[in-house]
Amino acid sequence: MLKMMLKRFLQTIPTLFIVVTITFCLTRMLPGDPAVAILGIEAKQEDIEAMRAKMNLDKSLPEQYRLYITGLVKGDFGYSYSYRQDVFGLIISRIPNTLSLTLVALVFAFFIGTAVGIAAAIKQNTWFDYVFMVLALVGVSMPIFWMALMLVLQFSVKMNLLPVMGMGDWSKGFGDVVSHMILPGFCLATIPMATFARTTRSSMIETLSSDYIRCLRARGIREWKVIMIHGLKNALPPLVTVLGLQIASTFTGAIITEGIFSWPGMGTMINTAINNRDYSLIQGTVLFSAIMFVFCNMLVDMAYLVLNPKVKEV
Amino acid sequence: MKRKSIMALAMAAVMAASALAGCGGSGSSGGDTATTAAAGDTTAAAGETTAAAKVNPDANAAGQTLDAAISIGQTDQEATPGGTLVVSMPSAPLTLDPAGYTTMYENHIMYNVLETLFIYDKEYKESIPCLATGYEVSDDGLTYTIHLRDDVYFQNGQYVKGRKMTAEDVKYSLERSKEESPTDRVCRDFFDYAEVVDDTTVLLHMSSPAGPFITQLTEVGTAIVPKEEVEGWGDEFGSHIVGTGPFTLEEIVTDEKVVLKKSDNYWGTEPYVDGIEFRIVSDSNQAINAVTTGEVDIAMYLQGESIKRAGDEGLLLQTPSSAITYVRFNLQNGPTADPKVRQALTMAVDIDALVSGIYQYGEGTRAYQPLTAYSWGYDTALNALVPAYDPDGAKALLAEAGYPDGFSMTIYIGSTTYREKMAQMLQYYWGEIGVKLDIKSSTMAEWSATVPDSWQGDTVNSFGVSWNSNPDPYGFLDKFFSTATIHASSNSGGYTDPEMDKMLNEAFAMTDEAARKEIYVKAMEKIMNEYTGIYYAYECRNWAISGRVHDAVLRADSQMVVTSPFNNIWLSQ
Repeated sequence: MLKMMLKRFLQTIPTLFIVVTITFCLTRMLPGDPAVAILGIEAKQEDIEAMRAKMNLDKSLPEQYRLYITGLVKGDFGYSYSYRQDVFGLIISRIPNTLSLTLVALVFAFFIGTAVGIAAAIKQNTWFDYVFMVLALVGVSMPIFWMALMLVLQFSVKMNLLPVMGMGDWSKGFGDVVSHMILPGFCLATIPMATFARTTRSSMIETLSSDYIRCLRARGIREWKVIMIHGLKNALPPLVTVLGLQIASTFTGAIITEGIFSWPGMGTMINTAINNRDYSLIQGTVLFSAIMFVFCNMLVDMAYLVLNPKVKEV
Repeated sequence: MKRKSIMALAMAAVMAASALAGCGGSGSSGGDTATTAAAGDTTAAAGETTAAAKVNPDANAAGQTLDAAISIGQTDQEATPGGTLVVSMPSAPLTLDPAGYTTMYENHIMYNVLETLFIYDKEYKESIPCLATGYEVSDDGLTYTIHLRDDVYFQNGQYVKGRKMTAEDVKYSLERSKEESPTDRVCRDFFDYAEVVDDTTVLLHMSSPAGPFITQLTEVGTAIVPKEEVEGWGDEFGSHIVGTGPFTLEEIVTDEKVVLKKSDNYWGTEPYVDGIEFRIVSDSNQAINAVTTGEVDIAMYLQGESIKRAGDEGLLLQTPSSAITYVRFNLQNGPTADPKVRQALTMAVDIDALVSGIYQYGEGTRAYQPLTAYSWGYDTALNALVPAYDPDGAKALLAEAGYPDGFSMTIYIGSTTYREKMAQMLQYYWGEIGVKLDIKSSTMAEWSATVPDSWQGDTVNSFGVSWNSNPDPYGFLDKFFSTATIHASSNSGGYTDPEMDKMLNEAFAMTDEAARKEIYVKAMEKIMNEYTGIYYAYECRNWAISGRVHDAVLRADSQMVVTSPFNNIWLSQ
């Protein structure tokens, strides 16, 4: 098992290397001069030249690439000229904000989604099943920004229950933090929740119609035990795959949600970085997101080992 | 607050129960009943705010002079001190260092912490003394004697503890601005050096006379800052600014908010509010929602449809900005190098219809000249020189210029709704006279990389953008029409004319406003007859403002003036 984990880990290196290279090329293809973006369009030519030199932009592309890679190897993500801070420090300072939002959304999504999925599978082809599966379909298809605005209109503007935007402040108490979390968390949860519900349902239906379940029932084992213990365990693997993918996509989906709710996370930072042509910061955040993706996939693979020991043989 | 949090927790439960897609039926109806009282409250608030919606009186009339900034809220009633004014703006400040800032958002925050020698008055017409008490200028225009207030102290910082501001600080700050600002803030090519006479007198020496110099000293980039703080913090000064203004910088939470607190040793009128919080809200609709719920008091820089919403809900405060929005032609190469063609292209457009077509919600108003109507150099009589809408006449002119069947040309614009609508309407109007317009829409970064200097070739035949400056004619005419700016974005059309340079330089070197105006009007007349472009609109400044804000002023520059000689914002408690 350890050997496989190590192998899996080594496999991520080329993937990340490719990501780094592509991001480097893509940022260089962005129109507009980063030095002008920082100094403003009225800046003096010599100031622009000086800034370009400071940012290493006066060097040839291969040279810039070499500097960037050697920096990365040493753990140096570069310096963000728009924020005037180290890229690494900036990203680290934002992760808790985005991660807390993402985690809340995922926990929300996973438990509710799975519960609905199981219920729908048991009550297959009843009105309950139809209603919730249609809702789930709507859930995956709904544009987040539209739903966010509708929810805000209803719960904040009309009913005045929840704050419109922003992140709560611990100094104002737990309630403040929670109330600021509900709307963005719910919005971000919609798509994964619907996905979980649909995946659980189909996986459960398949499991529940298999022979061993019929055997268990014939032996007179209690129905809830059949479903929750014997059924669910076998229905889980596809759900784990979906969970792994959803963690990563929810993390990136947070970019839109953060924008709408003025949530000071990675999403808002990526926006600012792109608008300011902040090459190092764009590269840093994309690289970080890539690491997240790769890491989640790795976790999924490892979870498989635990859930389904057969994988080892492959 | 406590009740709200409990309700919030309850809501979490309700939403969890209704689960899945959006507003599940039963859950939200329960919520309705629970909040009848709260709903009643908001209606009352809405009633108050309806009276607040104010749009600057029609600036569309042909004889327009734009003046009168717009004020809001009761000023006669007794003010109640206290509370924090919460202001939202769409983008985060990057640095608050006066010698490094580049955006308006930074400017608004700095304006409340730092102070300049002079400031603009309420009408955005004249500069009035702030840290200065007055000035004299020598007859040759080369020396300004500035008298300073004797009662000004810096805020407490890391390295300065309430030290008195003196002429040394003025010298340091202005010379630093000249040397270090990426953009020209102090007429840097003309202002030479400062000389300290005594604590309250400083001489500013010019290398050659510059008429707009004093108005330039209203620019927040020339604010007076203490040397110890600037040098102590180094590159970090931009996040720890210290000045002499009514508010101190308390906290910057990157991308989230900037918190200012009332200064306790301010020399001027004491602010009514305890502090200001600038919140970053990128979505205009959300900003209005937040004004409705009371989370934000003033939402600045509303965009597009949200302006209509703010108007419908009685929250809108609107006034035309001083920025000119225009389309200019390539004056050197391609078909538009011929003034006849340019005249024809101008005549082919119904500018009034163009403006009302682009700005559906009244968030733009008609302009005529390449100079803001807020300027003292503006002569309304010259508006008549803009040719009237006459497509047939335009066609005839084109034929005369050698294009009986028209031609193809390009327009380069930034990809915003307003510019794209404008280009599409021009495509229609010019199409009517046989000119095929190819629209090149891109990000502003790409635009700035393509358009300046493009007059040297003929790929860019015209371009659309807007330009803003303080209302001294210098900020418009010299930038648009002087050979000195031919490589800058403001003169991307490539205007160069020795006679014009002579006039502009002459007016620039004078310190007497009336004499300068005379020359500027002559220059403007010449420019208007050369059909350099279509200067069609002033886009409006749009705020959504809550009914609890009193004595706020929306000026053409959209400055967030909280405490000043002409207003002092207070909040209904």
